[in-house]
Amino acid sequence: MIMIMLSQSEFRSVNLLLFLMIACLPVFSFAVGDALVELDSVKVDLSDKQRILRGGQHFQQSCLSCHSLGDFVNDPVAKELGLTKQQMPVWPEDSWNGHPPPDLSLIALSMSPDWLYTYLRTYYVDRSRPTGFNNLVYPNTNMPNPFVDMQGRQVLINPNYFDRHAGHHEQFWYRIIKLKETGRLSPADFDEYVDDIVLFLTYVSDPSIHIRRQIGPWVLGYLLLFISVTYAYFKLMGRFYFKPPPPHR
Amino acid sequence: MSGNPPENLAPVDEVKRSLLKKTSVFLGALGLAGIGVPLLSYLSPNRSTREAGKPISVDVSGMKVGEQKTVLWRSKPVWIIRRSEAMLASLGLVDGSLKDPDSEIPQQPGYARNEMRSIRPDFLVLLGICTHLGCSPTYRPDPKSVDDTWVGGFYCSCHGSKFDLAGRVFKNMPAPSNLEVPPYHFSDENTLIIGDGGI
Amino acid sequence: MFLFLLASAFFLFVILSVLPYFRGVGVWIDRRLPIFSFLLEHLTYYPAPKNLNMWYAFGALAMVACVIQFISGIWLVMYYTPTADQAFSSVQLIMREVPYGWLVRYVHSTGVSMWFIVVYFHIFRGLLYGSYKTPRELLWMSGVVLLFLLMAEAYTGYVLPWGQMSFWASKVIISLFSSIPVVGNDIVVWLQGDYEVSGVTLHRFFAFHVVGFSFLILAMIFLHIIMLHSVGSNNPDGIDIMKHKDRNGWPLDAVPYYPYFVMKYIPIILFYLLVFFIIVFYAPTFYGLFLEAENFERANPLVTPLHIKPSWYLSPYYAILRSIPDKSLGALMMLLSILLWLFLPWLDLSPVRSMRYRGWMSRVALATVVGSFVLLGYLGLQPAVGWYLVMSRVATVLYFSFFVLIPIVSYYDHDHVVPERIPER
Ligand code: HEM
Ligand code: FES
Repeated sequence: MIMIMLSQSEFRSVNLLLFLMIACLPVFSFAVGDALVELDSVKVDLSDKQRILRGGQHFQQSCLSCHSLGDFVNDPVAKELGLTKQQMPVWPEDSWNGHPPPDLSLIALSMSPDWLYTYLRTYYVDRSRPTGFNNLVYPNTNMPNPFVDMQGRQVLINPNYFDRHAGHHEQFWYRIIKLKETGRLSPADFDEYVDDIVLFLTYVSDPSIHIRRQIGPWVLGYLLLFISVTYAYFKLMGRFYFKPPPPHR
Repeated sequence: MSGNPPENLAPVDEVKRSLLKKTSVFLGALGLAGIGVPLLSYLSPNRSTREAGKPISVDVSGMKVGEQKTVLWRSKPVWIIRRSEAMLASLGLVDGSLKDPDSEIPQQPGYARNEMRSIRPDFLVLLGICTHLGCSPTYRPDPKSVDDTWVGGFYCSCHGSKFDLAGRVFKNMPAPSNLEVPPYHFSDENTLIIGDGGI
Repeated sequence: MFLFLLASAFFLFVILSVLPYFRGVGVWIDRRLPIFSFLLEHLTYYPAPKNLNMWYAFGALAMVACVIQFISGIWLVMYYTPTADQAFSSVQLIMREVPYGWLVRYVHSTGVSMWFIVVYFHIFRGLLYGSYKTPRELLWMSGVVLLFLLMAEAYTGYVLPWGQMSFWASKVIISLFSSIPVVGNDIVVWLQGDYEVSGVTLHRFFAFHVVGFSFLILAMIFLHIIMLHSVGSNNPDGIDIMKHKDRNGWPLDAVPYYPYFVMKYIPIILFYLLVFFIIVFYAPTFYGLFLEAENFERANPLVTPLHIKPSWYLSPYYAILRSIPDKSLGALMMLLSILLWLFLPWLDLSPVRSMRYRGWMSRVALATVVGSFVLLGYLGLQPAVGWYLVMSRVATVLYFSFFVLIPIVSYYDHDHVVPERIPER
């Protein structure tokens, strides 16, 4: 249809303009979060229900002691996991020095899955912080490292990073910190553990995803069919086939 | 050339034309129906409301004989009344003046379709909503408190419907049928579950 | 479900098919309330120039977009709660708990952006074919007013979910009024109804969004169509079709709007819906352009988000505002960037309407203003630093230069000869 529109418009310059505007669209999108390090990209396969459930179990194990999922409690997946409102912590405004752990119902949308995936894996030992850990993606985070026993301890191997970062943006976290003491899980298993949690949180942020994918093809298929029928009807008629108007008043 | 339409009328395959037209109209109707589905479903109770409409349990251990307790279930008043022997005896006296003494109109679950309209004779469970136009009748257990022949029951002040102590409506009342008995069961001696008839 | 759909579709189909047999009823009603003859006159026998092309579908699409917003909007109001502590969670209630609430909400949020896309293309069509020229000056001006109303509607709506961007965007825009001399700060407090943007502000924005601006838009669209139908459509050749009529007074170069153009535009409208629903089902946030990530966080008056950026459809004006290093002047230029369009019919001195017959200078002028507008739109979404800032200043100058150049350019340009009748292609 766009092609038809283009071929009918008069100037090459107009075509070009349209094209540029459409081509520009992806450029408009930009990364969320303000990380200084490059974010790892994580593949969220929301069709894997078992994995979402597994991520939910990991969440209950590692995160639920501090973070609630207030909007999620009535979801079927929450039911299956046995997540209830009672299990979820409620923090007074002034606890944690005024930074109580936030509710995570929408975190995968307000940050991004990539951000979460990298953030949760880039804690490193920093004695100057009250929790003993700092984070590369979210510097001076108030959240204690929840994974010390699983991941082990990462340490800074490239302290210069902080002096030089102003000019360089494409630093990779694994060139800055390194695993020194291994934890209960192997690095690969740990990554998968975090990946599961991220997948779960992505689902939690917008559970409509399953039904959207279910209905989507039907609606689009219907529209395509309708377009072809009405277009065929229009094409069959000549401009003057339709009844001429009666004498004009 | 002039823009005089009929001269330019090209021959068109009329069968094909009519077919395409009918298909278009049908597809359009299908689309309207398709838009209707989400818009109408949206109006039905949402998940939180449905959650809140689940069965509730009521502790009846502390209830005195003759006492009425009103609880809310699905935002509607449900009465629990612990009837005395005398109240139960009054039920037999009025049969003749009732509209539907044997509860033939299905205003109760099967297990409450008996003389007492209840599972246990002492406990009466009723939806406190008049079957006429939805007011909530008052509990008037004392004989002669409403009129001279009154043996105890429920009186709706809106348009004067009268019901006996099993919620059965008297003859010639505005209300067309007996008060409704919601599904319920006793999970133990003292715990009443309203909204679920048990197994 | 599927059977239900088919059954109700069949039911509707039957009703539609037997409707023609009730012609008598229609005639009876029409004598007393001439709605059918009104439709006949304005839809069926509206004399449309026979060369109207795809660009002319955007007006119809803007109406479709309007209908979509109204229906989904009415449905949203059924659960949305305009108070500071409930607004955010009521949106989540709609998204998660209400049957098809996610669909209604995503349709409404996608619908705004789609409406703006359509309207921008619609305006571009007007510029391309000189639709603002006499006798369509008022029609064009009503369009500029519509654009203004649409922006007000979108802005008040944007505040309603009460996320971080809602809060801070409303604060930034309201603060613009403080640049008014002397009374500015009082006006800000008056608009907010509080000493700070708060739940009170949210509640009045809600009132303006659902009943204030929306009804003004409806009224304005109505006037827009009335004006269009009293002067008639322009066309891609910019030729006045009313000059040559047949014996019955029917313009020789016109065909009845229905069914020819209606049938031509129905597949286009459906294609629009196709794009619309691809976004709704597969990319409802549209990479942070239609629904910003920051707005999934509840409004917090104590923490400003790192990047405050406007919605994409307002970003050109925002870029103009930022590129001018003076608060009052910036706000004024931002206002002028829209208001100046009102005067275009008198700034363009060329007797020729359509770019098809205009010289290269006018074409360059058009390309400049459109190009700089798109560029400003892009820059408005980027941080105002370094090259971005330099470029947005250049683009701002280019944008405003259009209004200075167009009288000169249109006066001296070498236009081509416009044919008497619409040429056959
Ligand atoms: C809510 C937004 C709007 C709606 C629903 C709307 C609707 C329409 C419709 C249905 C038409 C006739 C079909 C067509 O020529 O495309 C039309 C024509 C027109 N509109 Fe709009 N419009 C809107 C906004 C605007 C704006 C923002 C402008 C300009 C700033 C504008 C300027 C015009 C002009 C000049 C025409 C006549 C075009 C011609 O005959 O060549 N409209 N509009
Ligand atoms: S509502 Fe009870 S008598 Fe009318």
